[in-house]
Amino acid sequence: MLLACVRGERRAQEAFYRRYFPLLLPVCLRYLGGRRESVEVLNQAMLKIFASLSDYRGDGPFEAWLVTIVRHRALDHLRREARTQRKLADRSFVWPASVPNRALDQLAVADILKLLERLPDHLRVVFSLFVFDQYAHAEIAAALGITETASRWRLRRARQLLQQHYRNVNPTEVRNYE
Amino acid sequence: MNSEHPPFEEAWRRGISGYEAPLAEEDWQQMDALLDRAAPPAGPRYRRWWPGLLLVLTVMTVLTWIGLAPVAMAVPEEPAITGTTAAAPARSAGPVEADDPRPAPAARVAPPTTPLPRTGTIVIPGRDVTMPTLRPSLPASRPLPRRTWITPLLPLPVLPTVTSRGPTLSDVLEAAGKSLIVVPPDEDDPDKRIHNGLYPPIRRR
Repeated sequence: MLLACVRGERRAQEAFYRRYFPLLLPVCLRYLGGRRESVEVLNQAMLKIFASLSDYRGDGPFEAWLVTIVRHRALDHLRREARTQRKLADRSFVWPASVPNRALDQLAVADILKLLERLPDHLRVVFSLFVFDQYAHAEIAAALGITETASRWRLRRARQLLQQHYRNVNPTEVRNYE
Repeated sequence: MNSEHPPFEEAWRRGISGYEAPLAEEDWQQMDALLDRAAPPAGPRYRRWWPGLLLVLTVMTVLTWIGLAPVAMAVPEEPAITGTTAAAPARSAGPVEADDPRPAPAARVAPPTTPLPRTGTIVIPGRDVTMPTLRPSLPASRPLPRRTWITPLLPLPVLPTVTSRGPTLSDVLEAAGKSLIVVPPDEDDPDKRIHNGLYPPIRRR
């Protein structure tokens, strides 16, 4: 199937797309938030993958290679959006009405994605890189072109916004992870 | 796992890592359209290269026209200026003493035929000064390229060109048995300061 994708055979590309779409779309969702925007970026990343399949040398897991390409594409998209629209800090966090009033560690994945979507972009991307991809602050700073201090501040701010609701539904929880 | 992670972040990470997003049919349709736009254009290959060929032909035509234009101003065989300074009107000769008879015309119009050297040194007649040439590394004589291209459609005027240095005024006067006296410009006299527009006034001894 991979060789057929390299040759540009549309049937093979469709099979490849249907197979890896469920794995790769959440990568875009946790960085970009909205599904429509995430699918657009994922499709652009798929074009890059089809063009680069012949470069894959089998050094590491194939799926990790795919995730890396998609992550870089999503971060590039965020950087372009930050330059053109300057919308990073404009949105405030509001708890989605569709997410049940439950402790944070008991939420379903779909609800987690809804919460991430409500976070401002510049907070969400740092939170996702730190929590899901387990990047260090130095790596986040290098990937986003910011300082480590800014990375730490954004992570702390994202946690504040998420834990405000967490403390409301768990008043006995006294730990503060800021 | 970083020890600073709150408990809910660990739960979120475990949940996200195993999550598979559902695929909608319009997602693939959107990708299919994107592949169509990104694919190379179908059809005969000339559709892709004929604009480039047209551009190359246009550029070559313009370059040919520009290259032909200087043909009308080709360098003539003989130097265009031969003793013109001596044949110029008297305004360039400066004041002449009244008791000094003018030389015969034949002596004035006979220019020296020895060409100036292009390498080595130049000896200025009557002024005991030896000067090096500006470019001693220049070949002694290099034939000018002769263009035998096609004449352009519109004839262009033939302009006089200077290909070599002709005899100077001092050379001509020296051949006539005269010498030059260079008078420094007088700052108070505008006629002397701007005499002839170019040179300080000369006086025949």
